[in-house]
Amino acid sequence: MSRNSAEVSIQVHNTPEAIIDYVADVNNRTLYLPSLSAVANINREEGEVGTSWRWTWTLLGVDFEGVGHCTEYVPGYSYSFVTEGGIASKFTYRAESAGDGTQLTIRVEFDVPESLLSQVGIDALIESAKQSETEQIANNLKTILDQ
Amino acid sequence: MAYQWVTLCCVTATVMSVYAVPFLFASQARSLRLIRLMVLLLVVMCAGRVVIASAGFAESNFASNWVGDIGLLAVAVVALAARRQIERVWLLRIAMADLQTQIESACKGLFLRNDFQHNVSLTRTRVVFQIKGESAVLRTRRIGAKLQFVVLPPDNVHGKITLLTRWLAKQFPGPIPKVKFVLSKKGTSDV
Repeated sequence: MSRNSAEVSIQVHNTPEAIIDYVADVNNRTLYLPSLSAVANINREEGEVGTSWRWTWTLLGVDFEGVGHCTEYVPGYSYSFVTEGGIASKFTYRAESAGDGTQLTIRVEFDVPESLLSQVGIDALIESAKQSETEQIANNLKTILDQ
Repeated sequence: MAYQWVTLCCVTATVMSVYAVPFLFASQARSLRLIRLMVLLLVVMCAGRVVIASAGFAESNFASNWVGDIGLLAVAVVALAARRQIERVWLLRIAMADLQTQIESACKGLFLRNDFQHNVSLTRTRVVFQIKGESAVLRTRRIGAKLQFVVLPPDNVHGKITLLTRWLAKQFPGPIPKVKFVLSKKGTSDV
């Protein structure tokens, strides 16, 4: 397995509570995660931690399906979830008051199987995609949540 | 018209039918986008034209049948010039009530005000989106019980309209089913 990560910080004109509540709602995710096509079978748990769902991720026209679940939820501060399957990943959102808004930091970590890395050109493709995809997520959240 | 052109038109019509027919019989929400049909038409026609010319028909009437070539060029120029407008024209395989439910749920997630205005016979609908003093309109026309002709709003009005359009593209994929991989916990993939 090869561990990859990308991190982006952005200023959003909204409260940390509103931002964390928004990203914690699984139903909102297809609106701001560019490659996420669908979520289904949401099993909500009290306090969000343990909430699970099935996801469909579209990459280069191919659908990948797997399961995700919430691992951390601190209202007004942080939210994390992990995805399981052939490509394991962890998404972490942290929101801290800054000026008249919130500094939102998004960190995405994911493992790429060696079998996939052996494909010619996949390394460069992942390298260019991971940062731009994370920046796109941050910009989409800013578009939606800026007041 | 030279028979080569007739053959080429028949081949193109067949390819386009193969692409479009799954849409008509789709049980799930699907879209047929005008821009993709135009690109497919141009690619097949141009490729066919090159194949026919390079296969030794250059001396025949076909090569001198410049009317077809000019027509093809005109379609390409129109498609390129009006690309922004053409991209907004979709056919959707869904009932209007279901489409309304989906758009309303997306607007809720985008904090986007929306107003559905139906005509008396419920065959035409205007959806007016309002964001910070600006507005954009999505128009639909019912063609069948589960077939809607849709003109999307221009996506340069506001970022939320762009996100709505991208979200609709995810909800209504094209007619050709995608390859699907189910990722197992062991790290293997099942198609």
